Amino acid sequence: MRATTLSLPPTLLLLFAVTLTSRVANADEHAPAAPARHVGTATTPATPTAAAHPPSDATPVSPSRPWAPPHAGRRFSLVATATYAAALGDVWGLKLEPYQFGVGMRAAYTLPIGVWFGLYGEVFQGSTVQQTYHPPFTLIRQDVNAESRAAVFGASVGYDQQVGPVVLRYLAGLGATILAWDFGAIPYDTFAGFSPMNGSLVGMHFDMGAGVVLPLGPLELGLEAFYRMETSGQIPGGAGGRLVLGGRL
Amino acid sequence: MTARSFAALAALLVATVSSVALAESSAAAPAVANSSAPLEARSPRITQKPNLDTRETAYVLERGDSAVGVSFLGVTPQELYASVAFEHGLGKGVQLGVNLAHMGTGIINVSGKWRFLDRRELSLALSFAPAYGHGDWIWIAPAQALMAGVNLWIFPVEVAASSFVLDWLELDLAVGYTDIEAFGNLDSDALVLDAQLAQRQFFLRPRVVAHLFERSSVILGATVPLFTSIPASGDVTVTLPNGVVAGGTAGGRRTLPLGDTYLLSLGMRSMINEHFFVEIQANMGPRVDKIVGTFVAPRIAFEGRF
Repeated sequence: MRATTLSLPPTLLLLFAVTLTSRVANADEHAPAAPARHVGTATTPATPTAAAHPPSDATPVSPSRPWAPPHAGRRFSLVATATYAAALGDVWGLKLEPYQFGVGMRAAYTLPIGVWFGLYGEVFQGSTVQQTYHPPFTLIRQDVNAESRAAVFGASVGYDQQVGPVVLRYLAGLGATILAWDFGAIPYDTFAGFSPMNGSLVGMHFDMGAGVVLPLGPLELGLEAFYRMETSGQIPGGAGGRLVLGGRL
Repeated sequence: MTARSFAALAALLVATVSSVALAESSAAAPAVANSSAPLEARSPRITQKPNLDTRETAYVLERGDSAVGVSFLGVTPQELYASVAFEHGLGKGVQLGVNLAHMGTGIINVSGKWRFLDRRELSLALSFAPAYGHGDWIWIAPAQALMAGVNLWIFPVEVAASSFVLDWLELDLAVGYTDIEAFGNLDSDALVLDAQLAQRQFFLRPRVVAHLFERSSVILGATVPLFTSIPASGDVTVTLPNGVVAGGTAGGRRTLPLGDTYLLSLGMRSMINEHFFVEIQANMGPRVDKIVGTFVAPRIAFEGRF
């Protein structure tokens, strides 16, 4: 039995090619306007108009192009940080300022989608707060120079998004805070929950923040704002700003 | 019919079917055709419908879309301290949700939202998110202090309107009423009262969302209570040292001025890719001070949509 060879007229082949090319091109053209999540299911929006947001209906959608990874794809970063933070709240009515100016380092690895993971550490000089302490529910008044300082270290996660020449940054961190205090020679065994009158303790903190980074080739210069929650009632939380300067590989 | 003729007819038939299908495929299949492309190549925008913020707007999840949202340091009754919410779009503008973190912390919270008008220039939605909070089930320390000995029934209902007045500028306005009834043994200075978690409040919540970037938006919002009342001291019960419960019969309420109840927020929301979103928001107001301990506190949220 002889096999039948299907030889098509050139016009039909051309029609085929045009049709398939049109199909592919058409699909590609509309793809950005309809980024449906349920691809290939019954829940896929029926039309680009239904899938796209109203403003996108009225304006041409930008041609499909990859999202640029932040920092030109340089994934490893090592930055120095200079921070100023103020303590929020007090400890049983005792005002402490364990943060103030601080310096530190952060190393991070950035994924192509902009999510990064890092390790950080900062040491704060703290300051002394002169005050007359009035323990709650007592008649006691005690003048005290409450000196305190803190060091923090932990792991952070963030997200960097390139927007034009700068990078928007989200960040969160979880770590430990070491608080050291010295209240001088006051005649108490326990004072505002602290005992003895000079010592240190460790608590956990949770940081949240946002910032803007200016990439300068392999260098980066950034400004971040952050808010710190402390889980220990003996360590005040804080909020402040951080200058970031470092390099990327 | 020769083999050549048969092949020509078959080719014509296929070409015709392909051409007819093209009209549909150009509309319905682009996502399918593009489904194998890497996420980065799809270049979706934050202003596209499946990516819009459904919180505090009239927008809802599309049919079949699900969202899991995690947030920390929320200051509304629905997001108090932390929330892990699951929401699902049922189609026809209906979305249902449940707050899982609250279930673990003593507050049971479900939500429903119906977008009854979906026009290019205006969307309107009605939402209802009842919750029950049982203070004795709460294990998170600050929330324990807030709701010690208290049971709360929370009935918030609101109508939200959202509109894109410009391609990059979205305006939202919600009008809502929240009735939170507190039961149990309360001190007259209980934190739950100070933090206005036992309130009846009629409020407006305007928001301006500037979609300044392809994947990021800046959000400026406020909650402007037009009327807020909380139980007055005579309206609560007090447990005396001998175990006798006293008070709670006066039935009075006191009205709080706007200066004690407003809430301002400034935030930023970004798409990481078409499935993941991140948001950070600085909340400011007297209530933030009572709940978190500082006048300004951030709320950070992460959302996955699938």
